[in-house]
Amino acid sequence: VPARRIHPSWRTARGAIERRIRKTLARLRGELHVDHLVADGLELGQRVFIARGVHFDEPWLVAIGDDSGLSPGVVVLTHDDSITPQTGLTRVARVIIGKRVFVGAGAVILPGATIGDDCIVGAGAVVEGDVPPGSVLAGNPAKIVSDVKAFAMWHRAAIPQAPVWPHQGWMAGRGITDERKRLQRDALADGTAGYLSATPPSTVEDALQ
Amino acid sequence: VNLWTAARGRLEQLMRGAAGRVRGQVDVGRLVTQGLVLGRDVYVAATAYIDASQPWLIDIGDETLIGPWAIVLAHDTSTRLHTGHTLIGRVRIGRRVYVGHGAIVMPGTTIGDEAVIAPGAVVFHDIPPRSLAMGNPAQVVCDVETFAERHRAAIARDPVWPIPGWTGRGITDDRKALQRAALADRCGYLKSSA
Repeated sequence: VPARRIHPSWRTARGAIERRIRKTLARLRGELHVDHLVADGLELGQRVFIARGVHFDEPWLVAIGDDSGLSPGVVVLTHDDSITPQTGLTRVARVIIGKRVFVGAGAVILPGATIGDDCIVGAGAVVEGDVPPGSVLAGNPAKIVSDVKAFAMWHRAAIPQAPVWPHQGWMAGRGITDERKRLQRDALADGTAGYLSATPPSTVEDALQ
Repeated sequence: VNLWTAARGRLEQLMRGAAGRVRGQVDVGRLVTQGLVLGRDVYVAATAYIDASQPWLIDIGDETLIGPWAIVLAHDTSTRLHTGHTLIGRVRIGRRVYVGHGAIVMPGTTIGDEAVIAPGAVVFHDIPPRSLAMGNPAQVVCDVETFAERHRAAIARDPVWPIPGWTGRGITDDRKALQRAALADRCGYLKSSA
């Protein structure tokens, strides 16, 4: 099948329309598009990935460093009403997330938390207080279970033995065929982990598609 | 009449699908066409999230229930910045498994048949068949037989109602008051029709 020729101006217009639709859909879902979050004061570094459905209480109290990523269902809290019935006050505190931090799906960051550079927060972890740079955290309440050097070393040792595929052609939405799905299923049949080699860092725009 | 019923059913299905897409929910039917292996009579709550980037690595057995806001992942991006690779792994959820509200299942894990995963649990390791796991990280606290025995004893003692006429669908105000009064100091049960 020959590739269809699309006029560049049409492509630009379509991009703008799609962006508009995504923003409207986000609104309908009660989510804020990242442009709105930044306009609201969220301090955002370069190449930050924010997945769909991430919740921010007060975006202006949150800072996220370069190359960090927040997975689906992450909750970033900056206020705490738990003592309101007793004191008549709401506690408010900032949340600082460093550079190259990964926050796993469904994690909860409590008010006042400071997460150092290069930390990894496991899925579903509940993070409170200061976390030193390079920590790997998991659990509720979140505990430091490892450091990122040991974590990376463990995986780097596992990668040469494990099946590795590129993202392109091996992921949903990146043209994987049924044949390759079957191959991937078979290669990972006995519960072993495989890896997808890195793509250029995802952008916020990708996440909101 | 049959044609009309069928058409209306299809139309309602389409509208639910469209509403789901607007809400940003994952359409399980579409995941199945992409390779998700789904047994029969599986219930996946509308707000549950089944990994849409690697659905063909996920198997869910017959009569399993995935609760609201539960997350089932087949990939883990936490390794990407430090190793240049994203981890992927198969997820096998057995038959007649219950995955509670808001639980998270990580890549590479197997949940055995008839296991019960409590609400909010985060499953990082394999869960043996017929066990009850809870907490973050999820730990096995007892076997399903003990769990069922405890509830069977309570069912014999505590109030039990049938589902038809006693839930949000079709319960009267009278019955609501009765149910509230009966459960003032205890839990009760709803009997499944099946």
